[in-house]
Amino acid sequence: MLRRNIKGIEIESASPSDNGGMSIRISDVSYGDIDGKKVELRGCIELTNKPSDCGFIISLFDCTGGRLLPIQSTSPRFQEKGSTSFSVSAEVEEIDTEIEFFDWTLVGYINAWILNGPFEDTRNLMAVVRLVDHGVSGSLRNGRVVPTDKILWTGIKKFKLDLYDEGYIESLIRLRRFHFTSIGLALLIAKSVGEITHKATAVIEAKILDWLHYADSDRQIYDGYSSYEERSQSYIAHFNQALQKVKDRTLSQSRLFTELMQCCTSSSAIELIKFCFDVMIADGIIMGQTLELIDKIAKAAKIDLNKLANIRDEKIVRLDKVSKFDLTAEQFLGINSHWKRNKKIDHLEAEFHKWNSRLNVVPEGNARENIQRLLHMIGDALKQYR
Amino acid sequence: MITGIDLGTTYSAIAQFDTHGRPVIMTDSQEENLVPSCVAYFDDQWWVGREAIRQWIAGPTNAAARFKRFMGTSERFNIGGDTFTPTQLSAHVLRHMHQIALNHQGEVGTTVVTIPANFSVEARQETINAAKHAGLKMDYIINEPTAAALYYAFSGDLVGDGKYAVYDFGGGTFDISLIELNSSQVDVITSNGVSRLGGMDFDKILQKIVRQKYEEATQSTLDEHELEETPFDLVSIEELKRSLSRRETVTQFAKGTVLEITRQEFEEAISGLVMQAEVCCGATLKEAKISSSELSGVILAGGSTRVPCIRKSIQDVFKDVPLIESANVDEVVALGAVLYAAIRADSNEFNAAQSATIAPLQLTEVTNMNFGTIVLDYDEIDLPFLNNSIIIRKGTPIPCSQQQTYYTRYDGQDEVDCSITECAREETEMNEFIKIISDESKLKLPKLPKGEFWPAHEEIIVTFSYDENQIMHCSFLHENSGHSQEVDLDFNQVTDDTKDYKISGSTSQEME
Ligand SMILES: Nc1ncnc2c1ncn2[C@@H]1O[C@H](COP(=O)(O)OP(=O)(O)O)[C@@H](O)[C@H]1O
Repeated sequence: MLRRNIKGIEIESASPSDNGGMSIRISDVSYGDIDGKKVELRGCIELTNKPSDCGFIISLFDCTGGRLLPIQSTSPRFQEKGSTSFSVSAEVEEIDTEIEFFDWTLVGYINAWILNGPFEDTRNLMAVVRLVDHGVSGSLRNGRVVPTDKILWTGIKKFKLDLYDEGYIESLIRLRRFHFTSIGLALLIAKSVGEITHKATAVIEAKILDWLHYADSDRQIYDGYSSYEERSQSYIAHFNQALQKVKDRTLSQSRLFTELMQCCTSSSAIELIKFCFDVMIADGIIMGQTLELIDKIAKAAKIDLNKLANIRDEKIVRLDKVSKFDLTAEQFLGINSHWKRNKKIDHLEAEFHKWNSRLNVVPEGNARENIQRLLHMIGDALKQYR
Repeated sequence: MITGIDLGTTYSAIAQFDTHGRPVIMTDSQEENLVPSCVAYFDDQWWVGREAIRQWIAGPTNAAARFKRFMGTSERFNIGGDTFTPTQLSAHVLRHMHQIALNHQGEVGTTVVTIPANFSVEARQETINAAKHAGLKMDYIINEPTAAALYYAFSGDLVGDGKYAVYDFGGGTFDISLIELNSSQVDVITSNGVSRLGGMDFDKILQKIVRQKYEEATQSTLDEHELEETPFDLVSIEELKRSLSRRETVTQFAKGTVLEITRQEFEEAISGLVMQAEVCCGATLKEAKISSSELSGVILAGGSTRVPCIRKSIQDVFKDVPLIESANVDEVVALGAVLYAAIRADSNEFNAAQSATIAPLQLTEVTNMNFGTIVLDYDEIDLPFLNNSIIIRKGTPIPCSQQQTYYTRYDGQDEVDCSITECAREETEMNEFIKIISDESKLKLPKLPKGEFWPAHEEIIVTFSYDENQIMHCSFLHENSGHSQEVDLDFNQVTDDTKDYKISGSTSQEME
């Protein structure tokens, strides 16, 4: 449903059957770090006048569904100057009004490892090989050249290639699912202290704006929304629905968790956990049940425990002076009540040492005060175990 | 003349290296060894010490005390309507100490001032600034527990070679150091501390107890102003605390009401704080992988070690290790400081007795922070993250030089960020608890002819060298071209505006 909205790219006229006197050959290659294709030319291009400086540039498109969608590159060396779309170029050394290759001549490699197409799978790709006058490379964007007057020749050739990574359209779709799930979870966090406060919703709204702002950039045109407005309306509508559901207690936590497990990557998991903490600290009340919920979310998002602790620590020191700690040191520090006495002591001691070492590194002010507060809390908690 | 100054939270002391080659405390004009670290302004002049304390008791609006803990923070103190920084107040104390030395010796030579081992960078720098303000030529700084250890190594009070803990519980801070003694050579193994833990915190808690008792007994509430009056003021309270170290129960008269305060209730109330010191000791032993049974003794320093429950706590942590203390625990730091000054001073000016003292004494300090650089790394699932790669570990003997090799990331990479980080705990993944000391320098790889580029995996050799004068020289070298970027950090100089170390950078290029 979404894919239909996605517009392809148009390139200057050229048809695969008519590359003029120059033929393109694309064949398999696999050696060293390269696993993919090589692009070669043979034949002759006649030019109307002799350019001072020129070269070949190869761009790639996925043309499986009929539309041309650009292929991205993960290696900066094989990207266009102004975008991350794949591009590789070769200089022409001796320039005349005629460029002639008597034998198959290599103009570039296409390394599958660095490619990122719209979809993962075996795809139909199209290589667009252009002979361009120099100075054109700056106006190459997503495989398109504007204006076209510096293009001296265009040839195209289709081929099949296995793309290994999740496609960028796939990841955009997953990203939206992840955003919607995050909104639901954030609202549950906000609710866990009792009523959802204005401060908490403000944090969620700011995050949504953040996402929308980021999505307004170049690459996001493939996420299925035709405009910024359409995208933001959809996000806001989702937020309002979820907010109502949380208020009515009809938002299913377990469904959100299932969804999360499907659409969360390890880097988005970190973003989510940070977001959850931001919502929690917005209220200025730290409660045991909120931390427990964040722990559960972290588990569903399969976040590494050390990373979780790191994020939690960073957020804790940013707490406002007026924040209330409505919980015990044990809850605060993630101590399980079933643990044996010695394990609790070890954990508390390790936490003390950790925070004490950090005290002098953080800037003066809130951060130091918060750490000081924690140290007192841990000292008092330890008393009862000794 | 060589001097050592212990600029304490509650008391300061100054020592000289006498002609018999002994460190001795110089008394003030009232023949007292310890000078209260208190500053007052009245009768159109500044007062430091006992006169100031009297003023502080009479009306704290004209006086300030206990400011050392706030060195390098934005905390300000009010004296007679004007505000003063802790640095300015410390400068007054240092000037006063300097005057004591002048009275005794007529002139002052190499001077060492002590700081807590766990002092923040800013606090350390502000101590240096205070000395500057005081017109004092301070040559070196030494950590308080290290100074104490040095004094004990000299005094012969130690039971022989071996490992010792130095337990320093003063008025404002708690420090613990582990040292190794070899003849008269002191090697510091590691130091830790709790910055805001000291006798002054006990005073505050005791004040609360007395207040509560009074309010309960009289069914009234004291206002803040009344807390500045006897017996609720902090000076009376400190006196009461000292009495509790000698007696189980102390009777206090408060505005006609008799209050009984027991040691037990005081100790119960401070047990959370004492626990902090205990945990810090445990963690320090663990960090150094030393068990308490390996220790030959626990050296005591600081007046708060006289509190009975602290003694008990020390025994809990260090088990049967014998306690070593001199009668004057609050003087050993100043005495050690002057010994250190003597070690660092020009020995040509010493007489035979002095040279005999100094000859066997040796000291090696260790770095008390981890220093590293930020690099890009990949986790188990190949996700890139910023890693704080530690080059010099905390606890490395000074001077030291350590090297690590890193590689450029991608083909065509032509520069490398030369960042330097600092953290007290080994934090690897970049976070807020890692201080970035310097991140502006870049190592530029030399330009290659058109069309050529440096491939990925170029070797970058990073060397950090930390010298005895607290200067760290950092070099980032591109092995293949000989190009390097150098960054020097002076830990004795912090620029005022950024509160960061003084940094100087340079680029060098090896000629073929
Ligand atoms: N007998 C005692 N009982 C309890 N505390 C004491 C006793 N003697 C000194 N102190 C405390 O020791 C602290 C001062 O110790 P000191 O070593 O001089 O530290 P600093 O140099 O930081 O001022 C003060 O808090 C003081 O109250």
